[in-house]
Amino acid sequence: MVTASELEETLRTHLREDVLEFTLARRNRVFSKVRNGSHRQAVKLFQDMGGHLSVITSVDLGEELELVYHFELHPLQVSLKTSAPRGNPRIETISDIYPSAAWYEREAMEMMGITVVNHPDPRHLFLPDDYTEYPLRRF
Amino acid sequence: MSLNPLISIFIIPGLLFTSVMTFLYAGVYRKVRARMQNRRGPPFLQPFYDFVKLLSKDSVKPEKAGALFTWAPVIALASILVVPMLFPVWGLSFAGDVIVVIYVLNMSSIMLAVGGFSSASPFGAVGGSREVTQLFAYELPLAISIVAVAVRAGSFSLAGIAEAQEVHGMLFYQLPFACIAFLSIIPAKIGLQPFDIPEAEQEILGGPLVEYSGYRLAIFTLSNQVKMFTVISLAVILFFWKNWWMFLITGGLLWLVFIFIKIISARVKTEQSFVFFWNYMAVLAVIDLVRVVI
Amino acid sequence: MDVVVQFGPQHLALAEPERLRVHAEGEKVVNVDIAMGYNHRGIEKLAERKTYEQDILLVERICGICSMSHPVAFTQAVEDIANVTVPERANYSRMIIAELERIHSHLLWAGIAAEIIGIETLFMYIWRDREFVLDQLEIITGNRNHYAWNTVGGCRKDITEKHIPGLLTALDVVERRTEYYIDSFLRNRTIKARLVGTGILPREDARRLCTVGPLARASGYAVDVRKDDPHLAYDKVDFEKIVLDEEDNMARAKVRLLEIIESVKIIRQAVTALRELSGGEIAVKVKQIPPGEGVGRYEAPRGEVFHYVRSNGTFYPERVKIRAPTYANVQAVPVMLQGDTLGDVPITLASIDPCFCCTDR
Repeated sequence: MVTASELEETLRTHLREDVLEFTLARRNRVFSKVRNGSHRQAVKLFQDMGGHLSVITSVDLGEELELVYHFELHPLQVSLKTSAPRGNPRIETISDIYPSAAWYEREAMEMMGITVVNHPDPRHLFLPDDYTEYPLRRF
Repeated sequence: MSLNPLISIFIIPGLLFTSVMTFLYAGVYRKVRARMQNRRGPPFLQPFYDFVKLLSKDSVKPEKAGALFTWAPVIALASILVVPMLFPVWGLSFAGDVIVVIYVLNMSSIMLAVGGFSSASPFGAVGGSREVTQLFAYELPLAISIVAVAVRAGSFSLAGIAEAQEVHGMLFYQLPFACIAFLSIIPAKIGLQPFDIPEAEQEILGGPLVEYSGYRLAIFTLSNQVKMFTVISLAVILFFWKNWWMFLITGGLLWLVFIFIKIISARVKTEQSFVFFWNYMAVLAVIDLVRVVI
Repeated sequence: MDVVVQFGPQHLALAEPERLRVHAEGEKVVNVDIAMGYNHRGIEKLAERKTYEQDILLVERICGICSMSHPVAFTQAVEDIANVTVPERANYSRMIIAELERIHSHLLWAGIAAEIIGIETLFMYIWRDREFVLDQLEIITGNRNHYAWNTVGGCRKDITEKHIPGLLTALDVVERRTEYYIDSFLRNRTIKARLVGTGILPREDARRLCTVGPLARASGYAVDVRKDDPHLAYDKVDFEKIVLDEEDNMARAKVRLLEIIESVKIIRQAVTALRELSGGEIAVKVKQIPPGEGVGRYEAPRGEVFHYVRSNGTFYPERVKIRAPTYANVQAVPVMLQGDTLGDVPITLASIDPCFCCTDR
């Protein structure tokens, strides 16, 4: 059992000013944004707390592309965001920490065109292999 | 009483009688299974309709398939049709030898495997290799139990075995273990659950038959259906022979028992069937063989 | 002999297109490669072009079997953004439909599992009894699937007193028959020969791969959104979280069949509660969805359905992310197949109760 304030404190002590946002919403939903690069450290923290990776969402913010990592840290539901500029959307993989992240990252790569760095298997997952566009991006 | 050999080849117990009995058995199989599964089931003559329908359809041969792809079903049907002619029903047409019967029966299984291998499909190949493995599994108890029967009856011909039973009573009472071993082989031989491993539809899509269509499939299916009737009849002749009409009744009852076993069991795996046949059924058969020899 | 056997895109044991390339040595499975996407319909993109009300009907059509789970998860996410509280009565009636759906989905799975291991009689019987549940769903909602039950802020229809006697009778039948099926699965030797000891997913792997639903619970990894993150009225009814630690295909069958009994219990309690609440509201009006983000989680029959909705204050959502349970579970299939024989591939794959049209969206 971890409360939202404890989680915020842990994140802020380990990541310091890399924690850009931290909000607690209804029904134990926590939304937090960290600087690109330090998300791996946060994910490792979540793993030590016994977190369960639900899914990774990719969002097109216009100037930036965002990845949202959804964790269950009982009883909290944590959504950890990190973003990279649209011109050079490089975000490092977390699939070495959570093996099941590999497929979610593959989806983010093919659908949103985010370059996941150090991904072990960067093939297309849902789209055909010769498909070159990124269907979920907004133009 | 001996009839003209042509009659025994073409009418009784040859082609005509066998075909009628085959479609009867297959019809009973479809209908009884459906009723037991809470379904209405197809018309009684559906297997016959299927046969005719398949004959009228195109038969596609895969590009890489060998010549045996065509010949395997034909040889399978031909060899399985030989067996009923050796039955001592209605006059002793030939002095049918049990060893010959075993070989001819195996021929149809081997042809199924050959057909699977020659169809150039991984499912066919896996099905063929499963068929051969299955053959190895049940051949041992089959051979031992038949030898026990032959030694007990003092004859290796089907007619001699039947005659011995007419005099001394059914062999089932004298060789119960060998009988159980032989009966346990029947589902494996004719591809019913729990031993329909080579044809497993949900795993390998019907195995050896996966690439077959049209008249080739019709012939293969018919040979499998003839096998149902033949193997059951063989069991009756070897263990439950009394006279020819009791032969038909006992055969029908046995068939119902096997349909019942089929519908209540799941399909086991290859290694499990190996363990079953070699560790249990072979031992049962050996017990009776030892008893007979001593 | 090293063979590559291709299961799918069309295969008898798979109801849906999906390709499994199995590298086998003889009959022994060495490696498995899964390819998805044969059912990709771009629903996430489509959801950004429709209003919230339309999206509910859209996400309902992601899956034909768990067609209650996606709308519930989606509406919960949107209700979080709009900060509305759903009336009690709507929560209970949503829960009744959801649990009925769980019963029919689990019965469907048990039938398919029986068919795959070759015992088609059990398949026929189970699917016959599943009709009792589908009939009740049709009487209550008007449809056997795709109930169109949800709206943002509550339900569109109500379970009234005239539905209840038939529902309770059907539950009695289903409970009695399920006990018989549990008995069949546990005592039939050929079924045991196929299910016990195959498709083993060790507990550590279940946790490491973040599996969900009955697959995780059968491996001793106790995740159940109904208990962990109570939604609807699950915190007001009494039921057990079924967790077994046998880790094999048989454990998954047992978990699902035992959950049917628990679902029957839940529905009975919910019906009692619904009778006490007679005359309550079934929905609150939601006028505008403010900007924000919400997460909806729902324990579907196959595991946790996860919806993430981000709104930008317009009538259309900014982003809808849908994670179906199979998406999380199918990554465990290569682990489960390690060392199994080729004959175990269909039943082991089916033991996660795959729904590839949910996964591909």
